[in-house]
Amino acid sequence: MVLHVHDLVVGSSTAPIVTGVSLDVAPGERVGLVGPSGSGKSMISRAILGILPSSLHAKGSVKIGGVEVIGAPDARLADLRGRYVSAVFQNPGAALDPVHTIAHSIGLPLALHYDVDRDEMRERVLRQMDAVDLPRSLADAYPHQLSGGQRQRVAIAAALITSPRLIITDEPTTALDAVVQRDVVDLLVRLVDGLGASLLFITHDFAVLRRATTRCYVMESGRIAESGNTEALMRAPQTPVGAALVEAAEMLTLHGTASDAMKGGTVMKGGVTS
Amino acid sequence: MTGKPAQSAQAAQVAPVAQAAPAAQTAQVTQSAGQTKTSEPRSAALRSPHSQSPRAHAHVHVRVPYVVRRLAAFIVAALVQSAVIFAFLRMLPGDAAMVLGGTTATPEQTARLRAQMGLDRPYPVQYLSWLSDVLHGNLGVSQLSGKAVGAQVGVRMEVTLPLAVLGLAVALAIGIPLGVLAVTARSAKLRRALQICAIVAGSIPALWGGLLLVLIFGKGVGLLGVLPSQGFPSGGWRAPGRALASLALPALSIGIITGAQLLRYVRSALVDVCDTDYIAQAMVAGMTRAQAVRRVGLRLAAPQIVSVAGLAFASMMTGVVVVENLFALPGFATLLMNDLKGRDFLAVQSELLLLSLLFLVMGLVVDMLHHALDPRLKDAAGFGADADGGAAAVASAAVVSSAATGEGDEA
Repeated sequence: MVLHVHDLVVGSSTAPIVTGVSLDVAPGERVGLVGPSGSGKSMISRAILGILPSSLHAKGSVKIGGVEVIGAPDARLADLRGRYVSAVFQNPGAALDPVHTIAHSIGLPLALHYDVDRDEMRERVLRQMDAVDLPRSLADAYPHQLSGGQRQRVAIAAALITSPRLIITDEPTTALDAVVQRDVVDLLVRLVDGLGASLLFITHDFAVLRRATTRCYVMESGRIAESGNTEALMRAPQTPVGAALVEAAEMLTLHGTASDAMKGGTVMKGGVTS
Repeated sequence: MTGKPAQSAQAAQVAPVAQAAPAAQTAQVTQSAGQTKTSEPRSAALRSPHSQSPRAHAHVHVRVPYVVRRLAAFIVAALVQSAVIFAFLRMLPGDAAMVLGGTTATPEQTARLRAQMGLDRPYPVQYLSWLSDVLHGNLGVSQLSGKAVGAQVGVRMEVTLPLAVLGLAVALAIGIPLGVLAVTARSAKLRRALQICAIVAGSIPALWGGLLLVLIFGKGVGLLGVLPSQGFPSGGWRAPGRALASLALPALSIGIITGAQLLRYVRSALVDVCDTDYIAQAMVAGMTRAQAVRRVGLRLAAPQIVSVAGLAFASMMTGVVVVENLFALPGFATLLMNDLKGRDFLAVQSELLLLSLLFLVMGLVVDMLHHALDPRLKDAAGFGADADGGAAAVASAAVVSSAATGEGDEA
């Protein structure tokens, strides 16, 4: 397994946020983690990456490529992050370093983990920009000079530049409009599949999830409520929360159901386009 | 970096995505990027709402460079401050003629003295005359000592300016590294101890802190007796070693206290940044939390820290009066207080104007540093930047007012 989470508990000293979560991601698999806002999805991703806020702690077991994350020294985790596992956050505008160029942001994981000279670094960054359909002319621009979609492409380029084996995306399309959402999801899927890497895609939107993953876990109130094949789960959700999320995905569809939209290429309001 | 794998960038694991992608896809991507390159210049590729709006063509925006706008604000603020200083001093009871005449002078003698000193002229005439002299580099002559104000200030600044610079250096040397340590230290006990030390040291009055340093380090009176605790060499900076030694204890007195306050500020700014996605993104790239705080957090907090350091330096110029008295240093703050007590308004108003110009220059430097440190400000509208200048002017006016009323004595 690329990622193995067993009985994960995340919380503060007073209250748990996530309780007894177990999930697996196999090599080359695209897995979804879906749930309503506040169900603890983001805290799971941060616990996996070892970047929980200082006020929270995690218990249980999280293994990335066989390496135990919970309780590991920060230096050990830093060696994994950006090299073996990487992440894309919801709002790149609040995550990309505003005082450095996007070339710097994209090349940072490479600079931190590998011995690459300046010219080669530049070339790698430019090629990575090609891969995410960003004009090379933007290399020396700053994040605030880009659109939301361009920033998210920068974040994806940075996350994939070291060809990690596992990519965790935390609501990467939520801050984007419908057309850009589709482009970003398609780009992510194409690049992840091209690398042969695994993807843990976190979202509250089943319609987006369906486009990006083959298997998923549904969360409710800090627990896994159900799991299974994404298509099958959308057709016949087994839990109230699963049914509510599928219904929400269908209601947000402008013309027809979410599945129709996926198959027929209809633009979805607040969801994805095809 | 520590733990960096000793492998070449050519290793398969770091193969760029474009290489790993199927050939057809790569070609498509390359073609797409190539088309964009030729058809879309950088300026157009950048997000620019103004350039996309049809209205943008209807109006011609003449963008005055930031430096020019900021300098214009500087001049306006300086003129306003000169008027405020002049008016404020005239509101105080008494003048130099009364001080020189003493309690035995008759009203006629005082009036004659006042006429000789030009104090009987209308206020606007006095103001414009003073302003004209200042603009020609003449700060006037002290009505009490008869010496040129500019020369007096120059001599005193040889003590106060280096003292403030040394004090700031001590404050930065303490505040920034310990502020970072107060956030990144693994030991919770150490983090708490630093916080408590900062609160205690920051609340010590300069007089008490200075006395403590004299009792420990002062030559002749202190336990260690290694540093001079009184006076400044008569030769001034012609004997740099002695001059520096005489400023060591005063600089430590103000530097430690300001450093403790800066420590709290740096800690607070970093704690705010610590749980943001900027730090998370840096950690995801491969930094430890401590590295992310030092390399990203500190850089993001730098504009705020520069602002605080700038204001701390400016306030040291007046705040050092207690320290100058304690260590018997012939500094600028002492000169200002003496002239104020003697109602030597011409000297005081020129000294206060110089002080307020120093504040404004500090505000200007801080704003310029902000622009250098944060590229977002270069593209932002000028309102915020102008507001910064205004804030600096207001702060400066407040301190000048406090100095004029003698509140500095209590500092």
